[in-house]
Amino acid sequence: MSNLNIVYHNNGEVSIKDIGHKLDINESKWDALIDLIFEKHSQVFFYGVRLDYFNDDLIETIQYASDDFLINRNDNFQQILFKVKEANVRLSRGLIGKIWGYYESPSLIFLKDKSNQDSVVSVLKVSRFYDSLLNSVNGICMLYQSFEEDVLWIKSNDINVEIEILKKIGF
Amino acid sequence: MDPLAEKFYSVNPYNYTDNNPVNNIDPDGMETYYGDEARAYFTRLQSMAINNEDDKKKKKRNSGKNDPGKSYIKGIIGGLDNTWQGITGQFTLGGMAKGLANTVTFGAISSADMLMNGYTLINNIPNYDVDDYAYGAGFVTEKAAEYFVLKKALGKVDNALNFNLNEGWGVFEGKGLKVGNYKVDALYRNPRSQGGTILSIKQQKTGGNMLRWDFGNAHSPATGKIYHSTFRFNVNGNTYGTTGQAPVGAPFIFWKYKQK
Repeated sequence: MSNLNIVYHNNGEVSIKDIGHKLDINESKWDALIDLIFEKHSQVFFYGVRLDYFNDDLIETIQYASDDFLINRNDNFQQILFKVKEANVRLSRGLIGKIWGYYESPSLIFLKDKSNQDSVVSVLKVSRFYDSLLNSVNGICMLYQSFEEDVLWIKSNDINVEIEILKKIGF
Repeated sequence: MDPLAEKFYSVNPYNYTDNNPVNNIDPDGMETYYGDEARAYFTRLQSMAINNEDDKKKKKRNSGKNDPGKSYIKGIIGGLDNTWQGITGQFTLGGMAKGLANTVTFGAISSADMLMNGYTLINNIPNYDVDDYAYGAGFVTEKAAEYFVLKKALGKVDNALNFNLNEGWGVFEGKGLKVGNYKVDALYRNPRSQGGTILSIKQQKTGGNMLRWDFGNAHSPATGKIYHSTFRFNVNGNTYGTTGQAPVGAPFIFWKYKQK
């Protein structure tokens, strides 16, 4: 993982700065990391908060990329959650990368136990904040972008997954 | 610089509203309105907005031949400059230290109120002339910036008050304030744990971030103090700023961040 600067934060977050580039989740440099996380989990969801702008292309792209549309707050796409088809995470992330660009706070939520899907939905319907989910549902790992456009953040509530990730990224 | 500087030799030509931006306003740089007069002026602006639906001339002028986005950017630059000059001017005044904390607290609350009023104002003026509209949006931006600078000066942020407006969605309830192709949001919580965004201005397209002031932990401890900024915009073909974080005051001196 070249041209990346990695920082481990006290609260368990890991941040990876893509030096000199705007973060693009579609790039192959993220393949190894995403494959590793996917192997430890059974499902992946796209979770977006604060839509930057809206057009019909967004809806169409979501339709292609999603397996199951789970949250659309007030039907205005300001907060969305959908299950992503596996191929759109592991083989090609073009569609996810496109939707990622529509949101101020885009993220991927990896879930270990499929039976917890309803819990994920119900928690995020009540509170849209990442910590609410990480504190309420076991076996969650999140990849997300925050206010820095060139930084990818990772947080997991499974210590074993966290250790594997840190080994993988060579921290 | 004050275009009427020669009329006021007793004060610094870079002063804004006689060094008291908390109580006074100077909407166009040509006249300072003081205390109650300033409040009355703002109320008058609101009244204008309410009555504006009957103003056919305004409707006619709002024909789209002007660019609200460009006017708005002018408003932002003017607003930020006014805010910065005003705040720094205030801090260099002698004898201010004793009452500074109270002044700043009052100023921050006052700015937040005016920010809300500005939003209401703009939402009620669908037929506004584009320049007036952009001016109003610039006013909101200036107030958000002022609020931020004042709060920073005070050295603390009350999360419960600042980032829980509209259940944390902020002043503009998530959808933002749209001016031309620009979108403005203020004082909202980010989904990533604690922290929030004080002000965000962006073009409505992928990668359209222009200016953000954020509160919260950033990637790099070196510049990632609790307050910081990210900005990147083009002026006259030049790019200023980067996709990465910058010190909190960087947007005020954006010309020093010109990219080759």
